[in-house]
Amino acid sequence: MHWGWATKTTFLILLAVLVVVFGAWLYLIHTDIDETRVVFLSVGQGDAILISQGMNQILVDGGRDGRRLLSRIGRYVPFYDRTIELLIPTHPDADHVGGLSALLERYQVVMAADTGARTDTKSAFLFYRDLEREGARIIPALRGTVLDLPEGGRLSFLYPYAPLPADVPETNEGSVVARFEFGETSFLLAGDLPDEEQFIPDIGPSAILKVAHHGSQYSTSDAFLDLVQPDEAVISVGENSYGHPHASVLARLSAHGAAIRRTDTDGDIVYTCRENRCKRKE
Amino acid sequence: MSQWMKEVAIGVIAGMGLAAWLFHEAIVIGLLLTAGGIAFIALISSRQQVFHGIALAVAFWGGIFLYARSAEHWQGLAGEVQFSGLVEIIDRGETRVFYQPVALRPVANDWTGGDILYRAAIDFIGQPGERIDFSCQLKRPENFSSDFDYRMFLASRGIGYACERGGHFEASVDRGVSGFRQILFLIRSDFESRVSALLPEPESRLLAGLLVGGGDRLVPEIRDAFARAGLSHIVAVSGYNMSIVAEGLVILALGLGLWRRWAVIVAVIGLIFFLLVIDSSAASFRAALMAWLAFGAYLVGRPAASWNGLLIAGAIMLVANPLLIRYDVGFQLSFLATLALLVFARHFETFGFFHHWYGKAAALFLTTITIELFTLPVIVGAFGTLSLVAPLANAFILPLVPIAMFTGLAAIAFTSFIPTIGFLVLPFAWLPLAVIIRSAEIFSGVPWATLSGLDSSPVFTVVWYVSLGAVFFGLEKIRKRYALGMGH
Repeated sequence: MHWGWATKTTFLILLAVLVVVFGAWLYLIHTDIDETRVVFLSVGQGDAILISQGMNQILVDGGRDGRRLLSRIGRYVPFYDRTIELLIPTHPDADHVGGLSALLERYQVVMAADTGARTDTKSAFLFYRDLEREGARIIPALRGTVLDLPEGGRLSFLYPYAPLPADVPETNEGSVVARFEFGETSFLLAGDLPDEEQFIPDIGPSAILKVAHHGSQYSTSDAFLDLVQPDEAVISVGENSYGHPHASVLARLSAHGAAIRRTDTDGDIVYTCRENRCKRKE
Repeated sequence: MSQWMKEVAIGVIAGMGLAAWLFHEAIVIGLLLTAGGIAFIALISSRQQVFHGIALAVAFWGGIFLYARSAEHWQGLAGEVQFSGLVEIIDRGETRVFYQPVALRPVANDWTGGDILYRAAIDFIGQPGERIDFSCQLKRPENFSSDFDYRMFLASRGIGYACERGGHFEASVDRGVSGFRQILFLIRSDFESRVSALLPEPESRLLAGLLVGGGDRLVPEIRDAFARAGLSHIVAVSGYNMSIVAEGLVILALGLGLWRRWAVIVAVIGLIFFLLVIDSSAASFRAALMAWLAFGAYLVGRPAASWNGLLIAGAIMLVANPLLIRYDVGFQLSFLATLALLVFARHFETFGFFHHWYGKAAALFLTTITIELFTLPVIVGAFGTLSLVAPLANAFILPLVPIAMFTGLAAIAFTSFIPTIGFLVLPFAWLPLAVIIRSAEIFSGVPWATLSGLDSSPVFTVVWYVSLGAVFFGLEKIRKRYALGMGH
């Protein structure tokens, strides 16, 4: 085959463009993922919160649908990184652990935090079975457990106070509550805990509150909001028949001056953390 | 001979098409055509014309009869029936939130209710090829919307009954295995697990969709983005994807020094193997066949054969399963898109569009518009939407599809044989897929990207295709003038 001058030139220009585009793309991705991010993933009716810092990731819950979870996570975890350093299932309900079996198929989980609570649903059975097969190191998801991230940021478990029995009668009441702090910004992740001010009366202020139980009327009372004083409230919610988020919760949040963000209307809610504080990505 | 076959094919397709949408009118038109034909024969025609007329009429009536018989069979199934017996698992879909869709085929010869759609529990582990004792109170699938006949859609796939999750079933006793189906399933599962091990989501699902089809692999928001951008066809089981695989095999064979004709034969065999291994569904075989009719004949230098071949193949597929013409949007779109390529592609060639790179880009753009024009009534009728950004989105994204498919396949091959170099090939496999997804999202986000809430009436459809036919004949005249040198 004989290539003319024009064909050769065109080919070389195209090749050069390809190399430049590819290099630029990889550079942008690399600089983009190096920062610390807290992402409230839009996974439908359920919770899934990713704290990502370069090659280190913490995932709090996994929603109900593994396909949606993986599709959202893939956008924030580098494409060459297939490891989740810490997995925190707040409690064993399907809308929090239903998607995690799919996660365990595709990602290696190094550590998992566990309260000991179990439930007899099929999705919970599959998740805990797969977690055991994974061989991840289990750490207690209890008050007193604190983890420092390599590039700054601290995750503290605030609730429960002691290991829970496997046959806990009300799974929501054993839901993990954790705080992630990066510089001046604090995120309070309230799981599905009802009557929070009664279970964790010593809770302090946090700028960003992940509203408990998808905005259920049995959580996020005025008393609790007085304690937390959030500037922003994130509600992880999707299409549901429970009436989440409840109008009374939205009214209380507004009355306390918290800006409301919802994953069903806003999609993924992303906070990027630089220097000493985190800011929502518009 | 091919002239006869073409006429019979046209008769069958026309008869079935009319019977599918306008059954009573089809009878009237059939009678009028037959009467007119008899009058024509009696007055002026030659003996050969008589035989041609008879063949066309018989094929037309045959088409009406076959469609009516098939529709009557599926519509006449009892509402509920207690089933108990041996079944073979023929397919197992991806696990949903609450269930796994499983297709079961009763082994008993006297069963006429078709396959069974079984909503199994999420921990169901039966594999295709396995035979199990199964019992369930079967129900006809429900139509949830007046716009979409789900029951007949499933019937076009050979499914007559559903066993809903929560129904009474016993599916436990192993009663043997269909080795061939199980081997295919295991190979396919292995392939899919290699794709998912190589790439993260959503890129791995896109690659699987490109290679083996199935837009339902994608999560709803990405699937919607593809639909709004007019790109759903690239993840559907389509002739386009199959043709890319075939063209890749031809290029590979030519590169190995084989002659053109042998290269085509190698590609045909390779495509059959690809289909068997990757996806052996009837829809994929139909798509592959149409892909070959569209592109294969060009490769061996006989483009005219494609036109006849498409009609004959379409008629054969419809005789085998008459419901396709009405209820299988994939079949309709594949057939019409192939028709569009055959009808208009040679005009682009005549006008010299392919000679320069900008000509090729223009041809791609025009081809997309042509396909959109040919498939417009079907898309509007089936989905009620029309993508306005589709030509631009397709012109930008379609060239990336073969790159994504081949870098993906190459990366899977590399990592299968030499796992340690996976990290080297990963970016090349990931990047084109990521660009396709992000681009589809950007195009779908354009204001006025899609018109929705549209409807397509039979009258509009007829007027539309008659108009397209008129344009085609006009273009054909111009093409002949250029071909004879009168255009200069």
